Amino acid sequence: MADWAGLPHDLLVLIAKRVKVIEDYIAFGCVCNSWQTASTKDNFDVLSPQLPLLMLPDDDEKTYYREFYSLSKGKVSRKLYLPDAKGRDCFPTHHMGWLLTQSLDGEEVNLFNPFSATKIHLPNQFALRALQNPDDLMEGGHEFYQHIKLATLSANPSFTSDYVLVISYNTDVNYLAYWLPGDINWTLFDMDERHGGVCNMTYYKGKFYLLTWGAEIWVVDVQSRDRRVESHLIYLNDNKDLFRHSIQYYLVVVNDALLFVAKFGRNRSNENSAVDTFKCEVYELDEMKCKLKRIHNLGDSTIFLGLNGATSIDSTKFTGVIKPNHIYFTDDWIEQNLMSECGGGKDTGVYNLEDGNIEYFILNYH
Amino acid sequence: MSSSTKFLTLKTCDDKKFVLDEAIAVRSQTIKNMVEDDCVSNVIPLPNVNSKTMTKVIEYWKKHSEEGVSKDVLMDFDKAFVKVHHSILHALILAANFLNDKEILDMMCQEVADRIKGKTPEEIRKEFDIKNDFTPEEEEEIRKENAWAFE
Repeated sequence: MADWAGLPHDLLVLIAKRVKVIEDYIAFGCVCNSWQTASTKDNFDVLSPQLPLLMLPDDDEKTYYREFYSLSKGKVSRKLYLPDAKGRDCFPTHHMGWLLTQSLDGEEVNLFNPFSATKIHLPNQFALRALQNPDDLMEGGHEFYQHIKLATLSANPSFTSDYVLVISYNTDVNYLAYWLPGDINWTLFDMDERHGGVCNMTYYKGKFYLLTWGAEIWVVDVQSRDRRVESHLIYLNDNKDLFRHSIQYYLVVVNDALLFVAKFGRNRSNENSAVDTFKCEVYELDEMKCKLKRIHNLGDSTIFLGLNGATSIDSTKFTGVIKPNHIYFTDDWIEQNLMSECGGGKDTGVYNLEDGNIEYFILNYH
Repeated sequence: MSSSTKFLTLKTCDDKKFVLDEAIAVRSQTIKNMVEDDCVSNVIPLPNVNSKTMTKVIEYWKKHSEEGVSKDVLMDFDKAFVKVHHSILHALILAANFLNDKEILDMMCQEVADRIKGKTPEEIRKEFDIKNDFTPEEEEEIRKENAWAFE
C-alpha cells in the first residue's frame, strides 16, 4: 500500500511547493506529522496570486478571532486569531496580506500582516494631526472622518525595507501624507489645485495614482532617496455621465494596464435612502492621450472592489471558484447604507460585465 | 553518434526485463549517467521500481519520444496519464525520483497538489489513505491555529 506519510522529505517538499493557494497549503500541513514538516513557511511561494479574502468586522467583544468570507467555500467560514486587529479599522494596502490597522481612539496605527503576524508601528493619528494647520481641522466632526481612509504601499514590506506608504485621511477635506521606513512622523504633501477629496488610489509602474471625487486622476511620484514629491494631473473628467451622485470610482491594475472602474448605484425600491449597485463601467487609461477608453471585456481577469481599494486576479488560477470577466463588489455606500438605519452589507455581489446581470451574496455581518 | 539503434535491458525489482532503445531510456538521468560512465553491462537493474510502474514510465517515455506528435495530443496524453489510483501516483513519484526524470516527477507532484485543492485535512487523508498521527493535544493546537482550514 502506498505510504504517503512515509514519502521522503525532499519529495514531500516538492509537492508542498506546488500547492499555491494558502488555504490548501495550511490544510496540507494539517494532514500528518511528516507533511507538516514539509510545509514550512519557506516552502510556500508567497508571490503566487491568492484569492482575495473579505475580512469582516469584529462583532464579539470576547474573542480575538476575525472572520473572513471566502469565495472558495462560498460562505463566512474563515477565522484567524488576530489580537492585533481587535477593535481596529483594517484595510488593504495593495500588497498581499498587508493591512493598515488603526485603533478607534487614534492612538495606534500599524502596518499589519495577519498571515505572518508581523507588525510595523506607524506614527499615530495625533502625530498626524499635530502637523496640520489647526484651522484646517474639522471641529467636532464625526470621529469617522478624522481617520486614515486609504493606504497604498509601493512595495511589500515582507521583502524590502525600501518602500513608501501613502495615506489619505480626514475624508471630507482629504489630506495626504507619506511615510518611509524609519521616519518618526508622517510627511504631508499635496497636489496643486486638485478638485475634491481622494476616493481611491493605487500603485502602478513605480508611481502612485490618485483618483478624486471629481473623477480626476493624478500621478504622484514620491522619491524615497531625496524626499521629492512630484505630481501632475493626467486625466480631467470630461464625461458628464461619470460625474454625478451615487457613483463610486476605483483604480485597478489589470494585466499591466491601469483601469478606471465606475460603479453606479440607484435607490433600493423598498428602502428610501438605501442604494444598490446596478451597473459597472470599465475604462482603460491612455496616459499618452490623457483619455479614458471604455472597455467591455476583461478576458480571463476578475476585478474586486471594496471601500478602501480594488484589486484584480487571473481567474484561470481559480477555475470554478471565481468567474472571469466579472466584477465582485462589497457594500461601500457609506453614507447611503452603512451610516443609515437600513445597515450596510446588503449590496454585496458580483457584476457580469458581459450581460450586466448582478448576483448578490448574503453576508449577515451588520 | 552511431546510426545503429542500441538497446538496453532494464530489470525491475520483480525480475521483469524491459528491452528499450537507449535513446529513449536516457530520458532517465540516472540511466544516462550510467551509459555515459560506461558502467552498463547487459542488464541495468532497477531495484526500486516494479514492473507495473516501469510499464507506465516506458509508456510515457515512448509517447514523448515519438516524432511528429502535436502538442495537443501530448497534452491529452499527459492528462489521461495522471488519472491513476493514488497508489500508482505514489509509485510513479518514487520511480521518477530514482530514475531522475524531472519531467515525470514534476507532473506527478503537480497532480498530487491538484488533488489537494479545496480539500480539508480530513478529506486529504481520505484521498491518500493517510493516518492522522497527531496526538489529540497536537491536533487541538493545530485546529486552534488554523480553524478555518478544517471547515
